[in-house]
Amino acid sequence: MWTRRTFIANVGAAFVTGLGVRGADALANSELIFVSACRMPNGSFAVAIVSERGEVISTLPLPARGHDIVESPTTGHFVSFPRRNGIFAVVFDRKGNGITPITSPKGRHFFGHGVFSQDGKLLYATENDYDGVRGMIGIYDASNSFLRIGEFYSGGIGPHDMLLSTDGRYLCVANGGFETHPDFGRTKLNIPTMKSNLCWIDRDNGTIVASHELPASLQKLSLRHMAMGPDNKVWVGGQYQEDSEQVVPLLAHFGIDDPLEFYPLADELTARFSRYVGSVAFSPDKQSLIATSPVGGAAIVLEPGTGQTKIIEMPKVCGADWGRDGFTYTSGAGAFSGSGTLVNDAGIVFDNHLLASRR
Amino acid sequence: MNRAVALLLTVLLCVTPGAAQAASGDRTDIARNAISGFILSGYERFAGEARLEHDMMLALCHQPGPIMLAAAREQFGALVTSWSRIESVRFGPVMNDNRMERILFWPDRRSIGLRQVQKVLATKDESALHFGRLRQKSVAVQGLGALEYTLFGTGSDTLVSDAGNFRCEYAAMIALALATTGDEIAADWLAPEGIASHMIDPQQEWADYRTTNEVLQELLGVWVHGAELIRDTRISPFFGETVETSKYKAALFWRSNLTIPALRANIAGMRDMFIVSGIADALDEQSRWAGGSFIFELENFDRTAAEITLPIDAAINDDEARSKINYLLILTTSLQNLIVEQIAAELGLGVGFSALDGD
Repeated sequence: MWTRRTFIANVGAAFVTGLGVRGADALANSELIFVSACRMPNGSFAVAIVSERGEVISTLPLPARGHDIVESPTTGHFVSFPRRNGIFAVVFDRKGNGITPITSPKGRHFFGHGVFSQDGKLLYATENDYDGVRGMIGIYDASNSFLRIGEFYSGGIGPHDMLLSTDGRYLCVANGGFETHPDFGRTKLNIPTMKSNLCWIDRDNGTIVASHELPASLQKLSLRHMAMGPDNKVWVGGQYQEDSEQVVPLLAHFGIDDPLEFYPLADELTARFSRYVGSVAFSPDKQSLIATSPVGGAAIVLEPGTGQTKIIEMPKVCGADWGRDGFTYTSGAGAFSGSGTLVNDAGIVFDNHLLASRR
Repeated sequence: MNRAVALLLTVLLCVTPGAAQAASGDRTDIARNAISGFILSGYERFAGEARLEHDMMLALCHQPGPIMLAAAREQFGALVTSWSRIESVRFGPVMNDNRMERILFWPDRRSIGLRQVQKVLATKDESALHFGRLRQKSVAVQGLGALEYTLFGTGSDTLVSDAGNFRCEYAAMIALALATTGDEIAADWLAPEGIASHMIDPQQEWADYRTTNEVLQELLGVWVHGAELIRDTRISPFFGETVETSKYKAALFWRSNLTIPALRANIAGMRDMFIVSGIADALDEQSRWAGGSFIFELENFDRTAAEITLPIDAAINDDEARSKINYLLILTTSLQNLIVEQIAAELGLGVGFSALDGD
């Protein structure tokens, strides 16, 4: 059983063992690295720092399975958030050195995602007030040992992914709609009445300035992962909670003043997601979007402007971000990037999200 | 075997003549075997037990008395175990239209369902006695939890006299609703060009199942999620880490003393489907031990559970019973690991990371 004390001790150990000589060399030569939560061959959980060639540079042990990683825009430090029910987030540097754990307070746990303010001073995390059955946004002071300094209501239940508006003023939150409670593991407790929405929250005061709801026909759609697209519009991917043989739309976009609108992806392409979009990411020029599905074993690259699409087949593909010249993606089977082959020789398998980090 | 089952088997046999025989190690046979040999008959049996319960409730309502009440309560046990056997199948028609929750709304963490049922009884809500209107009500007032409360909860003794007329008629209507839901699920499984044919003969153009591996992954989920279901929603919530933190009212079916029988039926269903599907025969000769180990652990679970003879409120305070319940918890993890780490891995499916337990 991990406690805060053992956690700190283990992260401390990783300072020394996380980065071998070979890894250090690889890192020294990398202006571009990728970071992802992962599972080690022995079944333990970690964060992996990977070169653009897919070499595992270092790993940092985690007390529980990680999910998304975010990077501070100022310090270059990363934060790994645990999947839901997890109470330890981990701050670490580019070499895989653990810096500090962040512990969620009593009555809250993390939901896997977060975002830094533009000045890097504040870290926001999606959290669960599980006894109060409401989503929260925890606020942590990155300039003061990530001390928790406040929280906002997320505008719904089960907040998952979160973005910052282009101007940095608003938080955009995907409230997935699932009620969960740590007493029941990861069980979704409210499927018949679940309600997902997308909320824009003013960072200054926590006011919900806009909320986008789903039509009743899509009550079972959980909106979960987002990426900032062109024209300040956010693109979101969903996961559908029924086993319908019908194709249900999963990709949509919206803005703070623009309504939620589903992208008319052809049914045969939407079907490739098997009702589950695990990750979405945009190219830096905002012309290309990738949406992945580990369940469907496929990723679709879409150019919203032209409507052009490309299917990438890779079993359990999920993590995705823009690499040097195109999207890089990872899989729950350990595959890295476009070749589809197992290129990491460490025997690790990747979690659902991938972060590209440039010097 | 009823006509519906016979019809389906004929259809299945027509897809690939002779293929519905005993497991042959051919992966394409596994879904066929699971559906025709376990899933369909499981729902048929559940619907049949619910119909019988409905008949018994009608008899009790017509002629209230202790003998008729005892018979209805006895039949409730048969109904619960019939559901528990098939409960781990958490895909397909049972996932649509909230059928899973209509049959059993659990966990009911905030006792929402209980309060709703109590309100129906306290106000003698006549609308609950009309089939169509009952089905439109909260899922929590039309399932096994509601039926258990009417038969075993506070005030159920009134069922031996005319004083319990409303309660009796409400219980009868619940049983009818359960039978109807069971029939609907079975009918959807039998639908031409429906889920059964898609699983048996997956095609690229279908939205639900495109490849045999996708089908196998779905089937493997029965055992992975089944073990998780038992651990996270059936044992952990009531067991607690100590006697002081245990709470028997968080045990499913504590009122009817069916907590352990339901668990045993969960395990029996998982075992039967595993054997009938022939999935272990798809393993290489040197890996077949994993299938044997899985069955061995399932039987360990059943044997240990059978030794817990105290009612659950007494069992959680008894050292010997607590030790056995704790062992059951350990076994759920062992079962999950065997499927994920051994059987799925040997089948080349790599279940368990990102795809099956997504976020």
